[in-house]
Amino acid sequence: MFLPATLVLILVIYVVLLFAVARWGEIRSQRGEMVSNSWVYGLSMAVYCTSWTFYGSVGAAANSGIQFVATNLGPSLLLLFGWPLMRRLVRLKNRYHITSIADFISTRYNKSQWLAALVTLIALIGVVPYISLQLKAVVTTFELASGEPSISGVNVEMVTVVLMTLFTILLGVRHLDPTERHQGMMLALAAESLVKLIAFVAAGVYVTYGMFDGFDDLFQRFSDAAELSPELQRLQSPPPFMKWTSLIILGMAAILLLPRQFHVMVVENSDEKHIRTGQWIFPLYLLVINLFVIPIAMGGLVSGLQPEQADSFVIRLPLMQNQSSLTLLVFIGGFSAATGMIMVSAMTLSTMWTNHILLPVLERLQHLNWLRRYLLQCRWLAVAAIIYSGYLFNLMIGDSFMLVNMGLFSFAAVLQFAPALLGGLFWRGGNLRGALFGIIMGFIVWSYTLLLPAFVKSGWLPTSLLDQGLFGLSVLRPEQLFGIDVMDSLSHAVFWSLLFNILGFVLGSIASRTSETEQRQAQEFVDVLDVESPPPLHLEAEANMPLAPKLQRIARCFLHYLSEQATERAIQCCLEVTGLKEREQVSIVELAYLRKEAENRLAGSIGGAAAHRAVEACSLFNEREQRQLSHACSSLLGQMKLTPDELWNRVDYHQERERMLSEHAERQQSMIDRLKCEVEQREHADAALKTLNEELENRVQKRTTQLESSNQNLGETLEHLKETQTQLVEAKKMAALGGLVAGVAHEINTPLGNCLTAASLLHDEAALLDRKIRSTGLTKKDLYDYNQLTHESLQIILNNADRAAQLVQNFKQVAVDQGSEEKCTFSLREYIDEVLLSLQSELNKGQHQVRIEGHESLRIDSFPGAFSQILTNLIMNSLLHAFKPDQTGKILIRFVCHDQWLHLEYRDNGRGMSDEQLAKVFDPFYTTKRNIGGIGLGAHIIYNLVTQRLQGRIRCESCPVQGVRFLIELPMNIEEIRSPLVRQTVVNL
Amino acid sequence: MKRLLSIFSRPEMPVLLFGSGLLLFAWPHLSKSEPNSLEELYIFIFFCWSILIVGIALVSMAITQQDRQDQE
Repeated sequence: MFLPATLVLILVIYVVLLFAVARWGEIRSQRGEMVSNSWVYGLSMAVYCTSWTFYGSVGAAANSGIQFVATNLGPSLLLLFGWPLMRRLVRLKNRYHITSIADFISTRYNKSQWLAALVTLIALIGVVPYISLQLKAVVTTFELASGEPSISGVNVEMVTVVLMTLFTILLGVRHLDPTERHQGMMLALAAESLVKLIAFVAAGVYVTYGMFDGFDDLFQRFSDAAELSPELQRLQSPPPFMKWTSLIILGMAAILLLPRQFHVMVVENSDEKHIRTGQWIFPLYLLVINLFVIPIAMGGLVSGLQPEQADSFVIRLPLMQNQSSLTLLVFIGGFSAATGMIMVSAMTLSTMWTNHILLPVLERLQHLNWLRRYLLQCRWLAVAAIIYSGYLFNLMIGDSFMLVNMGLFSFAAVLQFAPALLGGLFWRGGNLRGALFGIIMGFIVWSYTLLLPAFVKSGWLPTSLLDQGLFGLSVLRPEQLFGIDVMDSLSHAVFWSLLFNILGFVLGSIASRTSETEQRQAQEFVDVLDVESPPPLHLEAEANMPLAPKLQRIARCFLHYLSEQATERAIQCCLEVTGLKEREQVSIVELAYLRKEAENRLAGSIGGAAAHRAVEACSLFNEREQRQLSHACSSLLGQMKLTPDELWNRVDYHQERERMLSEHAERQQSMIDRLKCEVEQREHADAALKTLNEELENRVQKRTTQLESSNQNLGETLEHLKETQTQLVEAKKMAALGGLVAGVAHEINTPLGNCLTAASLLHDEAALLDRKIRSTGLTKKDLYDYNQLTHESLQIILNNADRAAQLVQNFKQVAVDQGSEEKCTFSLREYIDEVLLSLQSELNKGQHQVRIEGHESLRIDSFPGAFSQILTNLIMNSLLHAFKPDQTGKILIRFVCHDQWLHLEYRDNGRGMSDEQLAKVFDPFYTTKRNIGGIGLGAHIIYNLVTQRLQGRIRCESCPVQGVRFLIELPMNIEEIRSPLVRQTVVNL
Repeated sequence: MKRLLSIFSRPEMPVLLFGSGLLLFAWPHLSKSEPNSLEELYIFIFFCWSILIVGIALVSMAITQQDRQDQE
């Protein structure tokens, strides 16, 4: 526990420190040094996290589980669109010197004071109770930390109210700033955000790791406790879907539409680029600060604290553990959260109240016009009144249902600005009546479905209103409007209020006429990113008006609201911007620009609507000057040869054209990017292809070298093979020749040997006879015997010599030595008959039959002798080898001419040949009848005659016991037919 | 990284992330199985939230880079 005075002293020191930070920022800002940066901007957005977040989120987690996260997820999701949306808002703010959300909405809809006043009223109704909640949090935690509700009898809440009021005035409303930017205050807000983040995370880390053994331990203990308690068990399940969705939507709305959020995010923005960083820094901040909400809630529940106390678990837990330093840090963190919210809210609401409610009232009440000169003081009072209203609200309502839920009620209230604001940014058709109608409808439904039930639940209105509905009509029951009872009360209110609001806005806009001024304004808002602010027109007009009196009028107008110094500064700025500094005479057109700049400048201090009326009221143009201005405009139209309508159409046309050109440029840029990407890809592909080609070339080169080497080897091998082949052919020839010579030698050796033996015997007998003659012992018998032997020997010699001669003749036939025979044309059939006639005696021995089939008139130009030998050898082979001695053989000779070729078939029905015999049938000296005088040259001679002499082909077919069949093909005209096959055969032989 | 940023600089990316975010955060209501306890819900929500922030940061960096290229 801390002494109350100690706590107050610490708070004062903290506030002074914050003020010092803010003052340092202001001084730097005045020197022209940049104070606000992306981080300051992003952290200042965390003013969203009020004490409702700091303390209340733990309370919500202890009572509803994970549901509390939804209001923080909404902003994170919305900031995905932060860049385009915020850029529009910031750019419009800079263009129109907008000071608040009411000013923004009012400026969009024809600078309507009514609309601005309505927005201000709703904001006040929605936010003041929220301020009350912050004060309550400070007081509650003060009581917890000190154990006392007051300091020496002084109410702590009152002290807080005073401190907050002073702090807000010192930091935010110390003077009227035409830009409404407070860089010092933003710096202080960023510092506060850091303090509350550090405090909350420190508490979370302490609870998680100091009181328990980390997340696992916490979740395990909570799970164990939940098994025994149905109340805790309920926290394990996801929140209802509709509630979850509604909270996300409310979170999205709040981050943009709460006056304080609009102020820090839009009005205080000094550079559009800060939005980009802020849009992820802020969600990150939310993530970190929410990370320990569940652990702290579980820690409190597991430690035995009651769920009703959960709003203060963050400070109670360190307090229970006697962690003084941590308790103090948490207390300061909570105070920071409340301070930031109260300060910015009070400042923005006071601005809105003075600009959009007080000033219009003062303008209408002439006797109070003097108050306009004390605008700053009015704002101070407004700040004090707003904060004090919060205090009173808390005092009156206390712990009622309404106050506890005021945070969400507040979000739902500002949600009613969404259709008018977003519709105004993106829909040209939205107009003032639609915006007014929509906001009023939405607000009425919000009050009926959310505020009225809260009043009933707080006990201020009869419960019959909830049960039976207004006027007893059940369809008008506030929480089941039109009989729909599937949603919780918050989702129900969000759904119906938003539906009525949107319908009112759209239908109201469509049904009502939009003025030309409003149309232009709508177009400027919608096209703010597409079309830059148009450059001033330089119209030819004579500078014949003195500037000083006009400046005096503007100064008088400004002095109604600003101090003399501020007025002087504002006028100098106007002259600088319009380029009229040090000018004495101005033209009517230049004066018009000066007037517009003055209105914009004043709008920064008192709002667009009030500034517009104020400048209108100062009568800068007299009648003559107005006529001059009209004349200048008419001249312009005249020079352009346009009517006013045509001018507007052209402006629209050019703006549309510019927009289309911008879009076209974007498309082109996108195409260029795509093409660049494609070019890069192609370059990569080319490089890859080049590498591949090089690899391929290398591989081909390598393979070529290998092939050349292989080819060379093959060539060498081929040469070697040719040589080997030649050698083999030669060897074969030599072998064949050797075989032939050996055959000839063998065949001739026998008759020659016989001749030699007979001659030797005759020689010996002749010598013996000679000796007998010399010795005179020769007898008659001896002479007779000798004579007998001589006859026998000579007979043997003659027979063997004849045999040898026949052999030689055959050998000559083998060599085809028949060059002497003349070629002639003859009838084949007749010639065959002649050959058969010569063999008739041999054929008759076995009664063999020869049948001839063929055309009798067929004539052939060839060598008849060769034909004769072929047929003779074939028939003799059949007689000698084919037919058995007792068999009557049958021979068929068939011939036919086809395509200049003679096809001759010879067939017998003899014993045939085995495969082995068939393979050797044309070999020289192959015979199966050597024992009876066969020499094995017949078939060989036939083969040689057919293939060489007659240039034909011969084939033999046979099977054992089935006879033989010779197929011979011969050219009809031996000179003309020289087929490749024949030539090849000749070459091979 | 350059490729990643070029993807995130596409105008439809925020819409895609927004839709994905909504779907992710609605998942506990759509799924009949998990997450079904406070611990699982806690892990699921904060994990998805972290992913969303990374997505926002990437979109932000992508826009910054695109602007820089435009200026060049």
